Amino acid sequence: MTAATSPDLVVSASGLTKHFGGVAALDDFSLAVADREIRCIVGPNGAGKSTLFKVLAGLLRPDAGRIQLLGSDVSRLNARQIARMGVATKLQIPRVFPSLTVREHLEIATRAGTGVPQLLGLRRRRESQASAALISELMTDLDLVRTRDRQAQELSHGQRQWLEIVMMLATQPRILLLDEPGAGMAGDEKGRTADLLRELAKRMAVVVIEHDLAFVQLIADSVIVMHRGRLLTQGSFDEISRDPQVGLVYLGSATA
Amino acid sequence: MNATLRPGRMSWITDPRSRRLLVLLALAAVAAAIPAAASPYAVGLTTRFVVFSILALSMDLLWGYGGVVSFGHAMFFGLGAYAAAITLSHLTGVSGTYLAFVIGIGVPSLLALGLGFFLFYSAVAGVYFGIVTLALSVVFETLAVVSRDFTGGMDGLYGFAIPTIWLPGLGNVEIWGTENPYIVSVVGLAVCFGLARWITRSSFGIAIRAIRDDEARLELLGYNTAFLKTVLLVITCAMAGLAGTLYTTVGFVSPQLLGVFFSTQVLVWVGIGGRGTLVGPILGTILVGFLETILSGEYENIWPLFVGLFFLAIVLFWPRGLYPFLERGAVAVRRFRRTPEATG
Repeated sequence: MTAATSPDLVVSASGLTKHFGGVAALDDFSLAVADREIRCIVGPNGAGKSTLFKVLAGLLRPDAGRIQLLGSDVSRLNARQIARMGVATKLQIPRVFPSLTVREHLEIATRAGTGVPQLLGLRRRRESQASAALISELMTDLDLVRTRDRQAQELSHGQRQWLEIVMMLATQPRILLLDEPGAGMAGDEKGRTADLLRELAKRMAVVVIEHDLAFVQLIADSVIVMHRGRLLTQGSFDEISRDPQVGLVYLGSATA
Repeated sequence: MNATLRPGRMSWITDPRSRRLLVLLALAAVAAAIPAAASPYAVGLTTRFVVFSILALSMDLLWGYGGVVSFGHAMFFGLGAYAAAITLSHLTGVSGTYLAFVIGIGVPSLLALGLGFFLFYSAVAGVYFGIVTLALSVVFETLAVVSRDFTGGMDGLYGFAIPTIWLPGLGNVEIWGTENPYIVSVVGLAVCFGLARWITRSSFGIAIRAIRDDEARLELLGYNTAFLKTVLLVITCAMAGLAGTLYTTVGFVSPQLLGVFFSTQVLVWVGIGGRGTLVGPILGTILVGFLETILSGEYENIWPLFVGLFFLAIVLFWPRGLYPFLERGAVAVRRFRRTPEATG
């Protein structure tokens, strides 16, 4: 792991430990992610993947360990402060705002981190042209344009997942943390999601938790296998899928 | 590309902007006709309900849009009324009135600021916020009853100076009698409605509704939701305080205005009219207000029973309130008329 000193490292966490009662959800876990890469985290249920995301996003405080995001120490920051640094997090259950229209989701995401005068329209705010172009491109690619005036509760499950990702992108993040972005999607929707993630990885770091190994194969540059809060192994998809250890803990438990 | 209706060719009556103007003009005409057409008694009643509907409007911003349930929202109205009445007991004339407005709005706003800071920032939310406001209402009502020298105790405050405002061309005008309080209250409601509409249509309004839907998700986007909720609470309590200040034109302020029963009534008005609609709570207040007046005349003791049953019926059959039901009907009619264009 010589990458730990690399300047383009956007996530650098070491020694992360988190206990729930007597159970170690994270046990001396370390993670390093470079800019513009897709990193997949796989592992059986209870391996600590979702806990890892909550710790990185500032939603849970680790018992021990150090987290650096985008070059600065965030161990003492809360979820909002971490979000404002440019870390966008999607948790396991897709969460959009049911009564807000698609357009309204994008509006508040674009204005995230501004003050009340800007929100009330009393003071103007510069808006990034590049980000606006990306959003409108994605809205077209994902067929969300025609749903612009519909409430999120009227959208399909897959559309809601995409809306959440597009909303996160409107905050102009530099790191995307996505917990099961393809969950509950039909086969073709998963394919489009994979395309989307690969496209986004040209601009930012993307860390994905995923159960579906076929989906992982579509997107990942490198894969981390977690087991009982620890790193089991890591490498390319082919390397980890040949690893007998992985078959035992992951595939074994998945087919059981 | 067939020759269907184009927006430019639509008659002016179906253009949303001119239709809105038409509705506004009609409302203004109705409001202006009431003092001439109705008895002084009816105008006096309407004035009270107009003042109460400002309170309901502020409750709607807080509860209907922000999802913050307060069982003590009337407390801010009562505080505004008492603060203004006490000011007017010591100071008279135009300057006294302006000061009464400032204090009547300022005191509830400051309390709201304190509450927001202590409760929202320590993540007291949902039912717990409601319970704290409930308890505070009891405290303030009791204080108003006990501190007789200051608040007049159970009898309340009366005999304070008549609110007087200066208007260009008219000079000093006493807000007294039937017509003047009515006009001032209607203007107050119009200003508050405009303000509420502007707030709910801004990004702030969207963020407030996002808090109602999923506060934690909004926080994860980088929003300081505790701050936004505090701002919302201060705005709505300032509005409640303004309503309380306008209530002093009735000439009498009593401890019930601070109490839990009154707060519950406000919830009923908003619930019946339709929360999250702004217009609904105003209609609800006026409708229930007159219903209560008629019922309490006919059935002296059991009228709250009928109001309660009415509320239950609304909750069962139109859980979102009367206004969304009316609105849905209007939208259905409009859609029916527009069908050829929509498919073109």
